[in-house]
This record gives sequence, C-alpha cells and structure tokens, in this order.
Amino acid sequence: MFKYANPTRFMALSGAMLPWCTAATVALLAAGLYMSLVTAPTDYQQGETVRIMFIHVPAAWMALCVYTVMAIASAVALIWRHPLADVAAKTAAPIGACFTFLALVTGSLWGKPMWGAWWVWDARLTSVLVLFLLYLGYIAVWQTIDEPVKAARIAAIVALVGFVNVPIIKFSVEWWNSLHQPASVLRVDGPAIHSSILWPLLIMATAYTVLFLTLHLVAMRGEILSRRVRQLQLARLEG
Amino acid sequence: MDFSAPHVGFVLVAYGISFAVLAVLILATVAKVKSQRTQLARLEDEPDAPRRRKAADQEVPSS
Repeated sequence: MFKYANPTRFMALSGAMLPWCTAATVALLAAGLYMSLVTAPTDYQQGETVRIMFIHVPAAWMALCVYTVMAIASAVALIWRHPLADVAAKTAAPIGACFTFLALVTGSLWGKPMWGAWWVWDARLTSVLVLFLLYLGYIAVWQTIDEPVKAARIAAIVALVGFVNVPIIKFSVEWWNSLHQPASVLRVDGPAIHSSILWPLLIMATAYTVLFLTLHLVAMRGEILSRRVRQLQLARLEG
Repeated sequence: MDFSAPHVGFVLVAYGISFAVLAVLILATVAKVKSQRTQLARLEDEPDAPRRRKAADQEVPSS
C-alpha cells in the first residue's frame, strides 16, 4: 500500500479511478434516491417523515467513518511521516464536517415532527455536535498555523485526541437514556428493520461512501497540486 | 411519495438542504483543483520553469 503513497503514483492511480468512482456515485445516488422517495413504503407511525432516515442515517455513518479515516491517516502521518498521510487527513476534514452538518440538520428536521423539538441535549445529539466542533477545530488548526509541518503535527494530535468521541457516539444510546433508538442495522443478530426499508438505506449509505471516496480523491489531488505550486513558488523566490 | 401527507415539508427541506450542501461541497472541491492546475500550468510555462520544476519534484510534497 505504501508503494501507492508516492504522490506521482497516487496522481496516476487516482486519475484512472476517478471516472469509475464518479459513474458509480451518480448511479448509486440515482438508485438510492429513487428507492428512498418512490419505492420505499411509509412508516405506519411516522408516515412520510421516515424518508428523512435515508439521508440522515448515511450522513451520520459517514460523519463517523470519515473521522475514523482522518484519525488513521493522522496516526500514519505522526508515526511514519508518510508523504500522503497528512494530505489524506487534511482533505477528509471538510468532507466529514459537511456530512456531520447534514446529520445534525436532517436529524433536527426529523426530530421536530416526531419528537416535537428541533433539538434536545440528548447524549447522541450532543456527542455528534462535539464531533462537528472537532472537525471545525481540526480545520481551524490548518487555517491558523502558518508553518505547515507544525500545523500537520498539531492537527494530527487534535484528530487522534478527538477520536475518543467516536465510540462515545456509537455507544451513547446504550450508555445513557436517549431519545434515539438502539442500533437497528449493525447488530450481532442481524438488522431489525424490514428489507423494504433496509435496502434503500444500504444503497444510500453505499452512495454516500462512494461519494466520499470520489471527493476525497479529488481533494487529495488538489492538495498535492497546491503543494507543488507552493514548492515552485518557493524555488522561484530562492532562485 | 404522498405530497399531501402531514409533515411532507420537513422531508422536502431535508432532501433540499442535503442536495445543496453536497452540491456546494462538490463544486468547491472541483474548483480548488482547477484553480491549482491553472496556477501550476502558469508557473511551469514561465521561462526558467524546468529548473524550478526539477527543484520542486525533488522535494517530497509533505506538509
């Protein structure tokens, strides 16, 4: 895997992957939206609002997944000083922040008609809000520290310290009293929801995952190009 | 989807916001790459570009 972490090889490989990833994202999103808005049945209690689940739950999963990717990349950057690791971590953060924002906003829009409140200081909601603030803090570190090596190290430490919040979010519904229901898909004894609802949810989750992969590849290419621009500008100043 | 059902506005707003946020994210990401590519091409087109490009290529683009 480290073989492909060479920036030149990464640019070639990601360039070849991008058209396929883009096509897969478009196809999966189209299929997922059709299933979510047209074929999925309404819930006998929630009615049409159950359709918010198909965009809320994948966004929440991606919020956690992207932070995990960011933490792993940060660990690799700190331990092995891998050339692409902090590029991967840095570029994942804005995408993860967007997914977290969407999880919070769509959750709020689902909560109002179902719970009667836009927001409650529930363990799950609060810990996801903390995750959003961690993303913003991580982005702020990169934006505010001028020296890139120092910014990369501090940002990596922030990402790793913040990772403690990921299991807290996952298990918050079991550790504390919460308005959220316990896990109903990722369970030892199998999913607890009907296949007519499960399939659209899984398709949308896959679409969001492939969308993240595509955007992450594009963002990493942009960051590599921006570092090359910086190197050229420095060389110009020195020369 | 039944557009006359109760609370359907919440569903439409949720999908609308998701679409808008993801569209902005995609456009911003692609715009950044295009701008960097343009800037890099402009730098490489300058007269003493080969020497500078060689110097830049020798340095690993770390943080």
